[in-house]
Amino acid sequence: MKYEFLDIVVADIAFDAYGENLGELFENAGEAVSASMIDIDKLDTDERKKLEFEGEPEEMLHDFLCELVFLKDSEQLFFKEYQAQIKDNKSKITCKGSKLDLTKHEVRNDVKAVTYHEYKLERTHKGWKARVVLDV
Amino acid sequence: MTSEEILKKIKQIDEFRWELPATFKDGMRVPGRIFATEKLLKQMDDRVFDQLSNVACLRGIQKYAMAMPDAHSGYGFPIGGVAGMDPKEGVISPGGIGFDINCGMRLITTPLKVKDVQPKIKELIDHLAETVPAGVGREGIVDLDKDEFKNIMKQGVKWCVENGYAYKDDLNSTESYGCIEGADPEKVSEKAIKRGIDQVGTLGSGNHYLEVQMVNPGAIYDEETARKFGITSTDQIVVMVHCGSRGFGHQVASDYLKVFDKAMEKYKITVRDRELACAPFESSEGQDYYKAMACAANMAFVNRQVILHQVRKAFNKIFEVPMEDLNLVYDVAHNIAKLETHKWEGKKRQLLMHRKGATRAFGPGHEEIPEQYREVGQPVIIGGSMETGSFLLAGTQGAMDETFGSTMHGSGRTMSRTQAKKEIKGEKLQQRMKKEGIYVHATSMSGLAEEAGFAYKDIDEVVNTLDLCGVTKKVVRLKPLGNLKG
Repeated sequence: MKYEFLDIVVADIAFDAYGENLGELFENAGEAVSASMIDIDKLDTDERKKLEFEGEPEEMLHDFLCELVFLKDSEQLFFKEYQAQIKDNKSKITCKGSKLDLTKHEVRNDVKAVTYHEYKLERTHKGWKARVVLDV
Repeated sequence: MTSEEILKKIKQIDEFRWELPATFKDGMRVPGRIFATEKLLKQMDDRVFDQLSNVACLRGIQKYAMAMPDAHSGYGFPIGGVAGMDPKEGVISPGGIGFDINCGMRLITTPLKVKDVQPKIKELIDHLAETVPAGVGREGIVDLDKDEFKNIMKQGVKWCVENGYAYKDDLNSTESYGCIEGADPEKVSEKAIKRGIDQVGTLGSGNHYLEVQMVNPGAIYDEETARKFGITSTDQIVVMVHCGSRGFGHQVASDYLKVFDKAMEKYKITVRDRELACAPFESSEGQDYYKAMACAANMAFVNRQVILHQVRKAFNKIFEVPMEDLNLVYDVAHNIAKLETHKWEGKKRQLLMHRKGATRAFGPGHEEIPEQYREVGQPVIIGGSMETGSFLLAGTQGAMDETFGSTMHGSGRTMSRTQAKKEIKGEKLQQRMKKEGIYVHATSMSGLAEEAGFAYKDIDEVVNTLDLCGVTKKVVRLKPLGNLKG
């Protein structure tokens, strides 16, 4: 399973994302944020963005997800495919998607922020797991 | 702790007041005070009490940490949470303000009656949907460069007066006269500017809305105060707006949460919840956040004012009402921190008030209330769910004495968004509301289902609780006719 949405917060959106390695976890968490905002099946992949972060994995993941929320408002960009490379507290993520076209795309939620509420990134016996709560 | 165990620890003071004792959790500096009927108390999720007790642990908190009857759990503070901090000793916490800085309500009176508006309600709401951008990805109606956006941050509604989006009287009818002092755009990130510059004059999404309402038959509770607020008959049409500082405020909050997360070590502050990250108000980080928060708050006042301008134009176009005949009753912030002077234990003291999902409710005579309302108390606007109705109230001396001049903000959710969507489809809800005489224009059907009336607490019980406590006084109950949902 890449991610699952949870019904644990009264007013907002929560999900758990999984990955066999950190790169996969970042990709799946990115997709979960996208899927909470828009119907990703209807997105094209004509826009590309390269994002880079530095720091502890937990902070890099939070920064990365915050950037997706920022790009939603600042450039109306939404992504459906992510490729992440994570090494030595540095991450490079290539994101593919498209600009919002209100005639084609169905927006699901206007995410305000990636919170720290119950936020965690942890190792599991299968790899990695993150819990994320989004303020909508 | 189970729900039963928590409830056992809460001490009942009287029918509407409960105390979460300072012994509930290690580190509580003051007790918690909950305003609720027994039913509303039991409807609050357990996290409310956990979060309230965490707030009571914050440095500099005075008297008690408060939860209003509409409280539900949030991030850091509960929604419906109020805390007054000593500005010299205490902290400022973005978690006590919320991501949507200066989310708030405004109420506008019209000279029209139900018989004038009801036959054209669909035309009106659909026209507003075209002229007030709602939902994701719709650009605002004010074209701004960066310098002009910074002027908005500094000046608030004064900018609107100078640029033709407001009448001078609108300034008097906005909390803090439409401008929180101390705003400094240099404390705002480039990212926040990029996120918000195109969003001035947009409603946003989620639970934000623009609603055309009528005064409920037989529901003018205080005729004299209602008249002062501009409401003279039960079939009068009014307009209510609920929105905030959009992506701009969300980014300011997100930026400073990270700043405070790192600053806490420097100031040797520990908190039980990362969303309660904070810094001493007088520290450089605390001051920077306050100055940036003021920028976002001023942008939110402007955002709601520009929407009012669009509402005036719409009524002028469809009903040929002169624009100046739509009067702003008041605009209140319900996600904000402010420096205020309060009197208790016989002394006047300055407090840094945090109100998150809570509204200022100053009583009669307070010098910060505009002259036209000073005799009756500050107007307080309480938005219910789209289906059930809303209230116009007045602040009281009771609020000054008991809650540092604060009250609830709405009805408060009881059901998660996910559960609400399981219970009803948006299309079905839209049909049901149509039968009840409410026309809804929604940008998203699933988003509409999330806002169903049953997902919220009983607005009458919430409002009555603080009315009977003597904190706010009921003036008028309002009923929706048409709703533009963000």
